[in-house]
Amino acid sequence: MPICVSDYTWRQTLERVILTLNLHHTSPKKVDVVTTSSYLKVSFLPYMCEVFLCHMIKVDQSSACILKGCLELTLMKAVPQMWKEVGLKLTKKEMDHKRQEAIKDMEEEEKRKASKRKEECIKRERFAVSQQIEVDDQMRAERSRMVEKEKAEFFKAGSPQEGNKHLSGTPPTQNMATEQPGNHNKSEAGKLSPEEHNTECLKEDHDRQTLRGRASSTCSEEGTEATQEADYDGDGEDSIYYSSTENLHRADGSTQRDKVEAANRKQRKWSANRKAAAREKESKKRSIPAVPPVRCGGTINMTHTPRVFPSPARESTHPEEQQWLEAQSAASQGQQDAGSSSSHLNEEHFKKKAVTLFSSGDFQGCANACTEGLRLNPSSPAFYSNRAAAHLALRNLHHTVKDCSKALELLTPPTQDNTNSRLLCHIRRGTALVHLSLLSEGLADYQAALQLSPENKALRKDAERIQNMLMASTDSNEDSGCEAGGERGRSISNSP
Amino acid sequence: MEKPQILVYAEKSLNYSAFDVKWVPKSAKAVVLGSHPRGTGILQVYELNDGKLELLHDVERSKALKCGTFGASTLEERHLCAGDFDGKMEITDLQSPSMPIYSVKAHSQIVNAIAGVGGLNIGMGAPEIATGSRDGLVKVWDPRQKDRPVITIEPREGEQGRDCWSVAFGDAHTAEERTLCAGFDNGDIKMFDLRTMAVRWETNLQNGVCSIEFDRKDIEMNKLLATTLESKFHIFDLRTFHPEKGFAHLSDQGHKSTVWCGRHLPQNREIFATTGGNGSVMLWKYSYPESRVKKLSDGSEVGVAGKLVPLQNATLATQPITSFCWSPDKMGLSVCSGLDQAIRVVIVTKLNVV
Repeated sequence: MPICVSDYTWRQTLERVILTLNLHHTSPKKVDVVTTSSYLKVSFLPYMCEVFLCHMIKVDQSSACILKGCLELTLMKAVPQMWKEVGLKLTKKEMDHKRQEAIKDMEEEEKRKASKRKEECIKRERFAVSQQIEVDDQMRAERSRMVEKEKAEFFKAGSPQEGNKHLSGTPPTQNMATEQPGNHNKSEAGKLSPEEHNTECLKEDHDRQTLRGRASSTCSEEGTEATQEADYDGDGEDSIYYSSTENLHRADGSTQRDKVEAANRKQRKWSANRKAAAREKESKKRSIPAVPPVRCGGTINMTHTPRVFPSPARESTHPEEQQWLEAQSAASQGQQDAGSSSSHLNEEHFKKKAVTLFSSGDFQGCANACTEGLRLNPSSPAFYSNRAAAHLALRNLHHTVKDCSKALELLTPPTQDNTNSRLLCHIRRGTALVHLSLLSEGLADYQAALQLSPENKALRKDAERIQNMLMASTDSNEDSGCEAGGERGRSISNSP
Repeated sequence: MEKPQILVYAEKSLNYSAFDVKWVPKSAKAVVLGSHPRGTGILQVYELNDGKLELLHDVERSKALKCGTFGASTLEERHLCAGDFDGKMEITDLQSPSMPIYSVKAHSQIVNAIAGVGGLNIGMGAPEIATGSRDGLVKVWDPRQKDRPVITIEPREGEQGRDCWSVAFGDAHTAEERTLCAGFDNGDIKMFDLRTMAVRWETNLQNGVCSIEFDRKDIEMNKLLATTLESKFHIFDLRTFHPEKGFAHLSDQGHKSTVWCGRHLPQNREIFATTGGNGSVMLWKYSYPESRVKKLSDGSEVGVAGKLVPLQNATLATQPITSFCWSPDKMGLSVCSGLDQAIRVVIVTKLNVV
């Protein structure tokens, strides 16, 4: 609790009040002055001094300084008038009240100052940014101006030619009419350009420059004009079919040479034109060198660098591709060894399945099992044969015929071993055909079966019956006389 | 600003994909070939007028058009040979584009590249057109012979072909001499001598060859520029052939993406521009070495490659620029098209002092 002191002395002028406080040997560093417009508090621990001012003061114009152990406060009066008293004598309650007010005032003051500072800061920032933007804009404007200048220069250097280009565009068509029609070969076109050059030169006095300009610009797709060219890369080639000298000589960059060069160029140009014209006259006298006839061509064969992948070659994917290829070859090796045994297993499995399904009466399932087996081993006649039996049981007669035929095909080298299988196939096919009312075909099959096993009485009886039916050539009775075939057909063989 | 600057002079946004753009020789017009989203082909002729591209003709074709060239037609006629997605090659007169002058089903699959020689007063000899297709064949056509190619270049019997991505003619300095170069998607470059009907030289660049061009068609073969995938391109010095080492060769990188197109400046064969998959255009200058030929210890001669200097680099678009064409009439004027459905007229300044 700081000790309240009030031993201050004061004097005043019309505008100021000067308060002197004895600091009682406290350190000046500990002095803290807080003031509002009607309240003053100095704390210099362990002391403090409070003054409730009678009149208002201007805080921002007041000052304080410490001399010789005393604090001197110079307060600027709000209203210049002589004060009777500095401090008011108030009751405790009033003092409290005043203190609260003072505190509030101080807070407001602080807030005001802070917001003002912030505003200032923002203003300064904005200003800086706008300056930056201006500088950037200027730079950009400068650059775009230079770009525009470049573009303009580019086309200005060419504008005399724009005019010439139009002219050159039309004379060819005009000249076409005047020259022999239908003769559009190089010599004629070549003739046109020197002629054009000559006419342009004669027409336009002031543009030697345009003539030179033309030389630099009028090069066709790969730069051929009748301008003599000097060899410049030391390869001994002095090509008539090359572009203008302008580029070469400018490469030196020296402008003094330019004039001399220009003169030389003009001379060369004139001489070139004269030469070209002379050449044209000569060629006219001779037969115009015709365009060679259509080539008697042929075929050229080539071999490509081998590449497995259909995608384009890329260096970055090369290592991955190599890896993939190696993996593939390793896998296929492994597969080859293990493959045969595993598929063998599956085949057996399907065969057994087919048999079981047939005997249990699931003919469709049997057919499916045979199909699966065929997927593994497409050249196994057993599967076809068994599937045929299943189809016969299901009355899918056409399928039966097909499968039997296929099986017989596969059993083509007729040996002793597959007699039984062939026999069964024939019988089944015969049955199916008879059921389909194709009696003669069915008979053929039965007879083939008979040939294979002549002792089969039931077979013989069936065959005879079919023969009779055929000879009667009446409407066939499907179910008559096919018991043997049906029974035989219905059993499933286990032979491979 | 002493370096050549690459500036976009005019830009035109299209409502279709443009695959190829070519200047019509001796004019300020450009032909754009492309494909509508519905799959039909489109051929438009624009004229550069007062800083803008104005549409002159607009023709629709039954199938999308992939590539075109004026190389085989005369300067007066300026017929356009175009290849389309169906494998058809047609020669049309731009004055009456509805009826083609010559039409043939050149290949069974899309014609990827087309090149012409013998026209436009460049080179000597018969006008011929070469087409390279996805079916692996390269065929050479003469507009005077209907329906049958003059030369067919195919893989050997029983061998698998590779897609041909680019073709270029060169070495047409006499009426008989002619060389055709083809680039394939497996990185093969094959050079065929059309006079002797044989493979003259072949090599493999490890990356698919997107574009191939001789520096000049009408002189004895000098340099060959081949641009490939993987941001690489190669220059071969073709003057000296060594039986084992082949041609001297220099390779460089640019664009950090596929280099789609490499085109030599018609007015200066040492300067060329390459366009990339990142939408940028780079300008390069090739300089020859002290001596282009070097003698080896066994007495044979081998070529020496020169140096390559990048002159300028500018990014014009965000999508690949697939086609670039220098104007043969004004040095530095060029037009390019990209996969962003826009064509741009690009000026390259200060090429005459470079």
